[in-house]
Amino acid sequence: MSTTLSTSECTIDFPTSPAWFRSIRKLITSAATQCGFSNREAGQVSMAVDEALSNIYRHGYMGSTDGRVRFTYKTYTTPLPKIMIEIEDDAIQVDSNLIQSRDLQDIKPGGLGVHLIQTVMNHATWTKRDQGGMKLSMSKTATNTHTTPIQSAQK
Amino acid sequence: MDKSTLQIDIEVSENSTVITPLGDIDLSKSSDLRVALRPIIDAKTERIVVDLSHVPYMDSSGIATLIEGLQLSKKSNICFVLCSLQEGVRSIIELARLDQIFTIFDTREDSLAH
Repeated sequence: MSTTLSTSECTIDFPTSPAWFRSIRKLITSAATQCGFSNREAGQVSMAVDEALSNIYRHGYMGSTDGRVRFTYKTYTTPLPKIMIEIEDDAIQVDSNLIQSRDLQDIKPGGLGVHLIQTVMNHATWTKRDQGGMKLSMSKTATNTHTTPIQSAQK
Repeated sequence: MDKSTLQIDIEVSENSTVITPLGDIDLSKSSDLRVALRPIIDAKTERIVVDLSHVPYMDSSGIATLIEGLQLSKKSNICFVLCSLQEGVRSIIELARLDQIFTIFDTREDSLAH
């Protein structure tokens, strides 16, 4: 296991299969933790990505596993741990103004995904791609970082 | 779609049913939890305890399933409670501001005692 912070970046193109979503969750949790996010915040970033992928699968591709998603992330360690994420699809285009969190006072199943994404991430913007489909750009800077053994010893 | 189903342990006692999902509850597994909950609610037990001690991760579809279970239970006058939440699951419930909606106990013993 690494004891120093490290950055990483990755672009991956995969089908809209929930089995892939699990793999992406693990990847993003690992990347966020390695660049200095706490386990809690890394888990929340992973959840935001998972919710975004679920929305593409359910609403964009209408539950089809034949859709494609292009997922890109890049992490930074300084000045604070930060992760930038882009998720592109070729699915149905929607007016980004219609992608909104619902009223949480109205307790009902469903409709939480956008709220969770917007709550967890510092920035989340949906745009229509010129080539068709949608693009979600998200970023988050860590607020609670974990301290590695080496950093503790140097202080 | 992932064809493997969510493993769920169900313990039925005189007044309570404890349902213990084993593993992540995500888009591909939340329907398994829904299918497991319906007959338990229909059986009109007094109390349903969802023990989440073996659930490291739950997405919004899992949360939606729990909300559905809570609402159906209320209609049948069944006490529907959660217990033993792991950090990741507690986090999403808090982010969705549902920690005030669900009755949550630290342990299974607490959930059965109250």
